[in-house]
Amino acid sequence: MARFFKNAFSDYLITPEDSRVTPQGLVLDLRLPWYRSLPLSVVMPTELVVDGQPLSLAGATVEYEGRHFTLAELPEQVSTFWFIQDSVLLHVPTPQPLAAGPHHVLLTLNLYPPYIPMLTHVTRGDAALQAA
Amino acid sequence: MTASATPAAKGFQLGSTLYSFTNEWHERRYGFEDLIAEVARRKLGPGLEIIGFSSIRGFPQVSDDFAARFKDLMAEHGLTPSCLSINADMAIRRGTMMSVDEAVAYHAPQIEAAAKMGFPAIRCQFAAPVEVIIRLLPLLEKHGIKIGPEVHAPLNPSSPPVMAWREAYAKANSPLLGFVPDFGCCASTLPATYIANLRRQELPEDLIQLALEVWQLPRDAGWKRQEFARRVEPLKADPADVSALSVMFNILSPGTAEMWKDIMPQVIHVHGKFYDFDAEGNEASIDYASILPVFHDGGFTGFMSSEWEGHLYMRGVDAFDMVAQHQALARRIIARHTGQAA
Repeated sequence: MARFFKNAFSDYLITPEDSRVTPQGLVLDLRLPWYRSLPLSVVMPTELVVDGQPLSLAGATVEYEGRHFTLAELPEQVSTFWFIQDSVLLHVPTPQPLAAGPHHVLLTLNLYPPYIPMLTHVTRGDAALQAA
Repeated sequence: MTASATPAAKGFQLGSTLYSFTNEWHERRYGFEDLIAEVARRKLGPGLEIIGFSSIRGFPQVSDDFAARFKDLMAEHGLTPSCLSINADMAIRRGTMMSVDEAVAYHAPQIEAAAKMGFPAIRCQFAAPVEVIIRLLPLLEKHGIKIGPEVHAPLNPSSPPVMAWREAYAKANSPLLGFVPDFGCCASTLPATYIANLRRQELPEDLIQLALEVWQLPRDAGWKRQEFARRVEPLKADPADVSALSVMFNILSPGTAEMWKDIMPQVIHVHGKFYDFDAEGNEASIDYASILPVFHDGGFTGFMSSEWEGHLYMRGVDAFDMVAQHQALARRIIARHTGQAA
């Protein structure tokens, strides 16, 4: 079990109360683990583990201000700033609906703070979610 | 005494940066106006510094209405805009760096935002080459705004990047060009509570020890991060653990009070960085009693923002109380130094 808190600016990376399990997959409410708004170009979810098993992020999208971005599109989003008091939603499809009951999700997110060239800040958070 | 209306002493003035309240802000316990109101209510002014990209949605675009409302708030609460912190996002496209032209274009609207909101000073960053700021001098002159990069741990006034700016400044010879000292580079050690928290987070002890060894080395943060990564490589460390520990290289570094004398006439604003206090109310790892008299005697008359960064690792602590303690400490030191009553 990974330690819950590696996220220096909030006790959440994933906000459990605002995240949900749907028939299509997971919708994770993420809070920005940094002290200032960052462009989506420097944000990248890199790894998701559900109930101890890796779940591919290949079909994942990030939703912000009503727009959806594939992960491949994120590095181009140099003028879409993730405001520090907003969440983004990470949508991750599951091959089949998750079974009813509790599920544990563990997400790794990389940040590349644009004013600290060469820095990769790796942060991780987990949450217990309930599938209906 | 009424803190919001009275300077610390003849000399520099006190204030707050909203960065001190990062947790309150991040956890959505305050909106922008509430947070400013609380700073005023707790008498933590009169100076108010903000980070544009932290506090302002849509920054660097600032609407006329927003700017007007901000000025009204300052007047209503008896606060004074002291400094706007802006960012040199040179690596906004991962893997490439902005050109000087692009960086000039990136900084200009941030300077315009400062002008619109009434800030007399701007904190910029060393990530952009000094040429960018020199090219923006006409815009700064148009608005009469001072600018300076933050001399932040692990830099000091004679580090190579700072020397490059000092040389360029000598050629440009403008009173608007300066520096923003951050007292995190005058640390004697890392705060004991910071190290204790690393252990509480259950970071591996061997990694903690390696990080503390690298922290002591008199090198810049980038070098320290790489050196730490090199030393932990054989240990197959979790990258999230390496990131968590590497934060220490950027927050505090060893330095003396006297080193600031080299650039004192160019100091435009100060970040009074602090983390924690000892039982006597002194900062636990930064010797304010030796630093503040240097600034007072050096003729610095701008603002020192109380900049609490203990929010990185402390929970359940009232940031407003921490800032109040910091300002009380500053008043005690200056009063003792000048022989006046606190």
